[in-house]
Amino acid sequence: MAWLSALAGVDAWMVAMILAAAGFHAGALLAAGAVLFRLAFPDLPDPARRAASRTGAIAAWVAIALVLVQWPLQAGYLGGGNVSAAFDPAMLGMVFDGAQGTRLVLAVSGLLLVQAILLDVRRLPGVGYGLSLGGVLLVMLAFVQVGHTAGEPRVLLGGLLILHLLAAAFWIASLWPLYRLAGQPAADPAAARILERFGRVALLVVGLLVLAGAVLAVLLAGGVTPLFTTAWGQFLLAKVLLVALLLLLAALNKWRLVPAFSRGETTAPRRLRRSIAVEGVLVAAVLGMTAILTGITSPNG
Amino acid sequence: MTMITRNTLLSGLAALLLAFATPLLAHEGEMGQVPDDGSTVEGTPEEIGIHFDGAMRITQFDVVGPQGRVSLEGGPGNDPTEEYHVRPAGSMEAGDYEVRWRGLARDGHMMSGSFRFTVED
Repeated sequence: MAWLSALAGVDAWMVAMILAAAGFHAGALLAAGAVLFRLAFPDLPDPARRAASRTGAIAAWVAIALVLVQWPLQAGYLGGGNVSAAFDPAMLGMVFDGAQGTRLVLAVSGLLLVQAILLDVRRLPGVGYGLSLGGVLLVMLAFVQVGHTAGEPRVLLGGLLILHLLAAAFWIASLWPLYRLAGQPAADPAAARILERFGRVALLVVGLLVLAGAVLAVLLAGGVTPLFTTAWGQFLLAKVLLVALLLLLAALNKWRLVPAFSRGETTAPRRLRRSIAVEGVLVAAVLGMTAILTGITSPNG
Repeated sequence: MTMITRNTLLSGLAALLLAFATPLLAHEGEMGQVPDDGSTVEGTPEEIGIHFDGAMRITQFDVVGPQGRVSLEGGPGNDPTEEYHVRPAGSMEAGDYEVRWRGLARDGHMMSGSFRFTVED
């Protein structure tokens, strides 16, 4: 199996790089998604709104720390996987000099700007959202600086990846505030209204996520066969399986648990919260699989 | 959405997928090795190297054999190059050798690879 051979070549240094990448992806998407979630649901009750913003800000700082940790990790990897290369100014300079450096600068500036959503903008309405949306754009651009989506046709590949990431960010960032909302007593009208509206928005978001991801995968692999024969394709299929499980849970929430919540069934809040928590675990697995996929394999086979 | 609009969209999507149904190579690929991967050479090879279909910054290039790491000379350093060749600093003993390399592609991708050859007396 191609995926097993790919894993056989992984050393401790690469494991550290994969973990840092997964953490950075999680943090950056949570931070960007918090802005999108707040924009999509301006009428969130106070606790859920604060939860979304606070989580976004914490995630942004975690992502900033991890993207800075990735820099010496990359330099060390290029030098053969050792600490001396990790802090070798020439190696660090070489990494910063290229596409990885551009990615770093875009990510850090974007993640700093994203936090403008925390500003109380009563005196300057719209400024906080404007700045944080600018931050989301910079974070998205950071993601398309490195890797196969930086190749030609760049606008198409980069555009598809950004669409895929925006949808993923929105979904990931919605989990915590929705978990908080689901903790309200069943049939709470404000919570039920938002949970139902989320179900409708999520249909569109998930459609975009899956469509952009599928087209991107086929374009990068050059067909459907490599998805089964290369390590990259096999890891991607594992990711697709995890996403399919996530979709099942999302469907269960939309068509069974949220209606039960709205009807005031007493066990609904607990069941809905449990389902959202499992979604969170699956999202972590998807991000881990993505870091492996992009870190140790390539669509070129 | 009408059936006609939906069919038009699906046809457009199918055409798009077909148009790009070849692998899109964003970064440089390894094109060949000297000596060839899996080959046997008589005596110390004059040069050891790899070539790529685009400029690559090689950041690590180690040749490991029965006596451990082989001393090399004449390397082009870290500058971007399509041809990376080095010479063994001394004679190489008979045995199996493995070359391990790492490099930074133009698109920021960190790449690595290895190949093997055998030296006979």
